[in-house]
Amino acid sequence: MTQAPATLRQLLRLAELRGCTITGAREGSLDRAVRDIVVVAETGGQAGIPHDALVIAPYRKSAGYEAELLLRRAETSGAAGVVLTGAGKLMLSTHRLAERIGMPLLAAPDADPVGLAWRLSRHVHDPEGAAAQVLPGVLRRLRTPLTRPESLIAILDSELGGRSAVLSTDGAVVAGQAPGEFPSDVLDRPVAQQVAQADSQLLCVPVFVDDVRRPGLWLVTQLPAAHPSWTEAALHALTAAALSLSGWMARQRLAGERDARDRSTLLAELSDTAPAVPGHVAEHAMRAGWRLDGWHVGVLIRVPADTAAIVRLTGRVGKALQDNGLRGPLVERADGWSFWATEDREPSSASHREITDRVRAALDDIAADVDAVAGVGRPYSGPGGIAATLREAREACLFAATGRRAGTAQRGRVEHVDELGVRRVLADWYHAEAFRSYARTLLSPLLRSGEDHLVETLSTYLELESSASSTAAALGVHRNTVAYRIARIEQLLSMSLARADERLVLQLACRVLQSGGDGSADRPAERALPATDATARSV
Amino acid sequence: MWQLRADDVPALAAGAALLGGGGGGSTRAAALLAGRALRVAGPLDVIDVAEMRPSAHAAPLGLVGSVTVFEEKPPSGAEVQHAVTAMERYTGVKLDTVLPFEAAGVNALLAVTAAAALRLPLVDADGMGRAFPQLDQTVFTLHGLPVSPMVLADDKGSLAILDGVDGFLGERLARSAVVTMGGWALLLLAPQLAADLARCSITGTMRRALQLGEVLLRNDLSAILSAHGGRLLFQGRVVEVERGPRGRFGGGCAVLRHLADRDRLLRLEFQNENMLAMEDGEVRACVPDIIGLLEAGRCVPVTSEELRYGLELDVVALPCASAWRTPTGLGLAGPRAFGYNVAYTIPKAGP
Repeated sequence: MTQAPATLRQLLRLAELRGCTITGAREGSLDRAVRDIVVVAETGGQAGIPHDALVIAPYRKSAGYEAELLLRRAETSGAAGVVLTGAGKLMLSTHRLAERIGMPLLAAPDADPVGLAWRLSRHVHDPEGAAAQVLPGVLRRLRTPLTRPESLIAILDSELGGRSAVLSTDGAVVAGQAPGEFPSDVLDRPVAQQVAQADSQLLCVPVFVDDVRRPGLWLVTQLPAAHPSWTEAALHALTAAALSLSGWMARQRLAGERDARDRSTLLAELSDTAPAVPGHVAEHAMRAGWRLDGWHVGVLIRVPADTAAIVRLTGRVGKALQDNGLRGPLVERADGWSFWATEDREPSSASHREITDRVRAALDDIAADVDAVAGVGRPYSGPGGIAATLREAREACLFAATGRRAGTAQRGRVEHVDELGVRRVLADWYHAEAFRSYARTLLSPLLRSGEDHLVETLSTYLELESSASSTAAALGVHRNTVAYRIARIEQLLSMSLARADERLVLQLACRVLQSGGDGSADRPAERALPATDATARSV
Repeated sequence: MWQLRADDVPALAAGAALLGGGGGGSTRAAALLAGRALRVAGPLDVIDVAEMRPSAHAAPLGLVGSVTVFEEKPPSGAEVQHAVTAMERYTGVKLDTVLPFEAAGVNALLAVTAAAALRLPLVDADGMGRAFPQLDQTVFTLHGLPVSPMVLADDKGSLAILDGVDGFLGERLARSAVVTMGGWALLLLAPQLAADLARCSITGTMRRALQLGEVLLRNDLSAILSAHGGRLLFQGRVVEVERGPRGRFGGGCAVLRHLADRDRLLRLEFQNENMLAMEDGEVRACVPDIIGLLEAGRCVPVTSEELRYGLELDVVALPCASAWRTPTGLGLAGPRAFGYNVAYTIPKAGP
């Protein structure tokens, strides 16, 4: 069996040689192969030193000159390095000699030369065998199920002698200490990887939980330069650790899902039975820590896309609300979260502005993780109040979503039902199924034309008071383009935007179409969304 | 025969200090004593061994113990007479002359003082030809001459006569007696026949010390190298000194950085005397050759005790007596005898 020989640099990172001071190492001299270990008890002795051997000798303080004789002998025999055990401070001449002849000289403060040689010998003569002990060592400590990712990091750090971390898929540190320099493209490929760095090896192992193509987490370890077999063994050990970590994550996810389901069921029962809440529901609510009496203010947070991530993000959203002074139950819904805060007294009429601001701040906090809109309901009291305020919140939320799509300012992300005023009247229109189907029929020439931007242009134009220049700015196109599109729209629809009635009907139709609901008709508008958003922010 | 005058004492002291090879103790107090003794007694007759009657007796003498204590607690002046009287009474032999057992450092001057006080001529020979830490490291031991009975005398009048001991045991017994006698004592070894001395001693050491000293006082380093067989090992500044236990005595090592070539370092190992000079892991000079330290530019001998950081030194090697370079000589006073696991190497001059 041919193995790559160990180098001095690789041996230096071993626990056996930790705490050594090294002098005399020249460029490349640490990368020389070490093929043997030899203990020299008598410096003046005639016993030969094998070529490429690491010489280990006891240092006697009263006979420090022996170290210099030994360095000379080691040099003439072509040794790879000299280790002096029990050497505290060496004389300047010893250091200088090592430097002059380029012989790596290691001063090991306290060690028994024979014991040290015996322990190092495994790594020199059988690096593969020595590395084979890594995996059992890690597995032995992974026998108990993981309760915290930090304990996994502790196990890996002590067993592998490196620095480990659990990273999220975007590179943020979940546990442990982030590796110094980290090539960002590593996390793009969901396979175990080994990256050679200046003086170390970076091992990255993906942790899969629900998606077999997209890792949920990454396990990363930075190892000092080591023998290839050791690095490979460490990679095996990391793979085993990743399995343990994915088990932990699945358990966390499972517990989260179960709690979410319990909460959703409880809230549904509460809404169904309000205001006369039966005893067992009230008891469940109490056990969940929900107060049924008092004044409730409901908030509905809606996620237009990526509803699969709702359960996973509950903790993050809850924390954002809490950070902004909003405390209360947070319940997962099919399209977002219901939240309500309960107070002993009826909140003042001015308080709705404050709570709207807080929800807005909370949404800003989570903007990086999820793109959400929210609606806030009015305060209602008693057990039935929760359902009532959440219903209002849902209505407000609908406006929040429409307001945003029309390309208006960012503050439209959160709406309070009290502030809707005129738009409340329109809400009935949005809900009327008859008008909904009429709107689709009305706009169908535009939807079928294949020119996706027409509906968007029309809607923006109408929202911005029929101003071609404002529309051009909002959409980021030339004013003439807007004028051309409006002409085209008028031609397709056989309608004139100059007439107030027709303009009103078209604006309502646009709003209804964008307020969501029917997927097939919505799609062109949905696709146009990001562009609108980006433009709105840039102006 | 030649005569030693009081005016010669400074030169003798300097030469003896250099022959001490870093040991032998400070010669300052002993030089004052020798100068005074010569002024009182007049010029001292120094005779060669060959000039003695073969049946004449000469006793080697010198100081055992600490030179530092000797300087603080000077001799009363009566020790030599006490010791000689005791020796003559014990052995029944009338001493004709005395000689130093160590014609280096303090003991070269002490022999002059003693001979002047006894009004006896001084034999120009000794047992070491340099300074060694132990009494048994003499050519007398090498040639199997008896060293006992030996007499120890201190400044308070105490006397100790050791008999029936060889060199090794004599050294051990004398050393322990000296501790009780207050740190140092005058030691008189067994009287030797002139015929034995002619065969066994190292001759001409006093004259060598005097001549070396004259050169040193002239501040002429090159003459030491050309006329006295010296080798210049190194010219450097002390950058590191470490002291600690070495063998039976204190010792240590010092590192010198070369004045001209800053990459060169010389490592000096000492135990009282300088034992080993190494450069780049190779032995440049070692005992029994004399490794002397001279203050750079002034040619003032420096003892190993005086080594300190920043001192600028010329390191010279002087050849030892040929008797020491024999296998038995090296066994008694070679590097291995002092615990240095290196083979004896002829001094190599600098590159």
